[in-house]
Amino acid sequence: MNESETLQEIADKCVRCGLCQSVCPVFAELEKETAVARGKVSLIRKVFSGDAEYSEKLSTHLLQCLGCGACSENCPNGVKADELILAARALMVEKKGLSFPKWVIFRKILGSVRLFPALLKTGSLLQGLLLKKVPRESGLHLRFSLPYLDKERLIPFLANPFFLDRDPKGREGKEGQKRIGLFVGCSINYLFPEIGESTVRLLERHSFSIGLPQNQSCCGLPAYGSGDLEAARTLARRNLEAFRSLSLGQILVPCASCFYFLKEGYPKLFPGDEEVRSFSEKIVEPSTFFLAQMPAKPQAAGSPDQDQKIRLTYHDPCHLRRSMKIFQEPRQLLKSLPHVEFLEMKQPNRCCGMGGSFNFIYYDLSKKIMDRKLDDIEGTTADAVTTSCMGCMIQLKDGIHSRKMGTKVLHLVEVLEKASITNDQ
Amino acid sequence: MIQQTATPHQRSHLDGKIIKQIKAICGEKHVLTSKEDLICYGYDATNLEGPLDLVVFPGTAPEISEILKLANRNLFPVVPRGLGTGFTGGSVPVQGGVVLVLTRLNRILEIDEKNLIAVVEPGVVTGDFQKKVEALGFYYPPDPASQLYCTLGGNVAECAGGPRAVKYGVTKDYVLGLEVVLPTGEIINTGVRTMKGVVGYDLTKLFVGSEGTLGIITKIILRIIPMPEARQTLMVIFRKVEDAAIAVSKIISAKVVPSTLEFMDNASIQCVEDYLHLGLPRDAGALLLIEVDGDREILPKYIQKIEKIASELNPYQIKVAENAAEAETLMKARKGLSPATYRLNPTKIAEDITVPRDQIATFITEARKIAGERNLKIINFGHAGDGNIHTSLMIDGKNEEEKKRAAEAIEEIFRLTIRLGGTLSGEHGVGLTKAPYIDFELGPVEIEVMKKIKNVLDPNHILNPGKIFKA
Repeated sequence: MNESETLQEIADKCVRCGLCQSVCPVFAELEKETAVARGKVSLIRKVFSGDAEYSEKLSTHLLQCLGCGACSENCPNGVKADELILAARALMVEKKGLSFPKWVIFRKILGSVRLFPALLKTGSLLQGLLLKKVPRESGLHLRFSLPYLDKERLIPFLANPFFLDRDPKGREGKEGQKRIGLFVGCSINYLFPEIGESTVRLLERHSFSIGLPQNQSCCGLPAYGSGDLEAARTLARRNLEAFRSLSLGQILVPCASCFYFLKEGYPKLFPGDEEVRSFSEKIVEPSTFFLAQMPAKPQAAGSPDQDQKIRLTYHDPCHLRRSMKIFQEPRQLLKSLPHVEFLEMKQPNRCCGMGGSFNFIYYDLSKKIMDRKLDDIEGTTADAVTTSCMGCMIQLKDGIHSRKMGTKVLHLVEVLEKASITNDQ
Repeated sequence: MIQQTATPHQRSHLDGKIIKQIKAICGEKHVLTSKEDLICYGYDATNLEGPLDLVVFPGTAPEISEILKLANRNLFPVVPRGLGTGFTGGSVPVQGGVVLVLTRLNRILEIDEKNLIAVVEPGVVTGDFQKKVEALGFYYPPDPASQLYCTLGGNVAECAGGPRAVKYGVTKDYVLGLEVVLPTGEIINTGVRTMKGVVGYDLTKLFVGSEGTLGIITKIILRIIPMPEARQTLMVIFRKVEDAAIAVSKIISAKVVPSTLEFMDNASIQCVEDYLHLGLPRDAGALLLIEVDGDREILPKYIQKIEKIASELNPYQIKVAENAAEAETLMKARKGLSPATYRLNPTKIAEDITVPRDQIATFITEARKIAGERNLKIINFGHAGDGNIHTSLMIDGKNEEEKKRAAEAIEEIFRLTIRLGGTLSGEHGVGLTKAPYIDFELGPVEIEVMKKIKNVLDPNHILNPGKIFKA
């Protein structure tokens, strides 16, 4: 957002040409004007002018947005509709308060240093009772449906122990090594610690010593996305504090959504705050970071046989491609790996349909949106799809499992780490 | 004069009973009545808003027929709508009532390769249809700027054009026949499935461009043509706007008909240059973007002819694109123009007047004078090949005084257009925005004939009231 551009100005800028109808994944399924940016902007204008209220219906329409940013990216008039919608959610929370479940989640659970891990720890011990293991898949199914949780949904295991509970001292490298911080985020900590481990090994192979404060917490994006700026600020402050004493030059964030929020979101939460600004400047993400670490000329490792190659396609996380304009770097990296055959899908930048809590509130809609993504992935006949957003990964794993496609879902760092082993041999 | 039954105070609000009946016809889930939903169906791309009581998404022609019969019994307005991308307010309700959205009727029913026709429903997105026929080696040329997010039904109702009109004509040149639900509920079929057909009056042409005031189109028989084998693009930048206009006339009289002949004046060039920094000369008078298509062998001949005509006019630059990527780069100037215009001012009053091709230069000089005298920012660009100029005033929509000056200027520009032998609208239609001016172009008898036609088909004026004719 242009700093000087007020919300009213963003709303007024929309000339209602209707182009967003051709790019919005939610509109493609619902085909209702209230689903698309033009409609939502019109509603927000009416609220601003006092001709409409923050009603239940309005809340639904504001929440029925993935925040993928396709509208803003393609808007001929430069209307930042996704930002306007997020801001309207925050105004709504300010006016009407949070819904009870969200209040419990953001203020009482996510916002608590002890309660969130403790609850999940209990969960990790009890998950066998509620859930049954799904053969061949690293995930679980509910034994019965719960509100917001469909029985057919693939639910990732809760890790035991969590990533941040594992021997932190072991990560500290030798004296005199380059140092880098690691912000893991909830999904890696609680659900996919192996991606955290992969990141650590990869950094170690590049001779980095890792600063990994155990008291880091959720990045705050889920709260921000739901309009709860207060909870988002609390979490942001906690993360700033956790990394403060380590005085690091760079902090790597493997998850694209966390990365976007730490880099772009934090300065918006604390406008003019110098410490926040300098914290955000340190935030880096894997594709740009590891691309810079690559030797200018790749070692002549010899091209592996065709049958040893892994055929990979790449899904652009919206938070990386649209918000941060990072889409060439991951491709450049993947294409440079000798054991990778890179296959581009038809619309790699189309949203997977996860959209954070969107997926929980509108699971069926979210699945329909994902179906088009799965068609694209299937169309490439790739062995694996790689991406770097944990939200996208959870979504794609669920979809690929329910379609029984057999395509692997890999985080970019997992692919890079595997490549670094191959190179060493 | 016709009876104006369609005045707001004579209309009753849709009562619960009528809403129930509409739900019974189309199914509850295809009817919207919440305040939030109504807000989102009261506008189109003009950015104008109007009141409405209900939105319905019918699934079949018989359902539409039932709704229209109900409307006649209870005298409520029905406004047909596609994806709401019109430029004159054609789908904006003005007297409340029902907005009838045709997007559920979105099937391509038939592509008959042997007879070069296709049968579609009105809710099909134009660009989707084009992609489909192009995959089979065919071509449906009409290409309004909104082709990726407008419907064929809307294109037919407004008789949409586009850059390719210079060679390939506009929507009406491709419509062979229609299925139409009349305002009184009867379902009729017009036209033919053949290349020729002259039995009776040409009702098809009557409905094409009728702006949703005479009937609701539920099926369209379209002509498709073979896809041209190749295309090539060039850009010519002229020192004076007159030179560009002379070039247009000379190209046409040299019997080269480009598939696109787009024009941008100096203000447009400056505007897009500020925005995209393409390296266009800021003091250029105008530029032409020209595309030719046809058999691969013939294209160099066309290009040479155009280059020769242009070079005799001592232009700044002639750039011929050697491949598709280069063509795209050249087209950037034209495609980037629309967003760039808003850098001048936040509100655009975009007209689509059309003048005889040899009057383009006179029109632009005079129109700039009209705007200049009133201290208004004006840009002129558009489809020079067919004389269709998008003359746009860029104003601050919140400044009432400036709005008044702009309205005056538009009126003068319309008078100028008529004086030069042109028409007020090449492709957008009359709708709401041009309704106050139709008697600039049409005589009282012509208007009376049109109103009589309206009265015969829609005696109670329930269908899209308040459009085309002066209130």
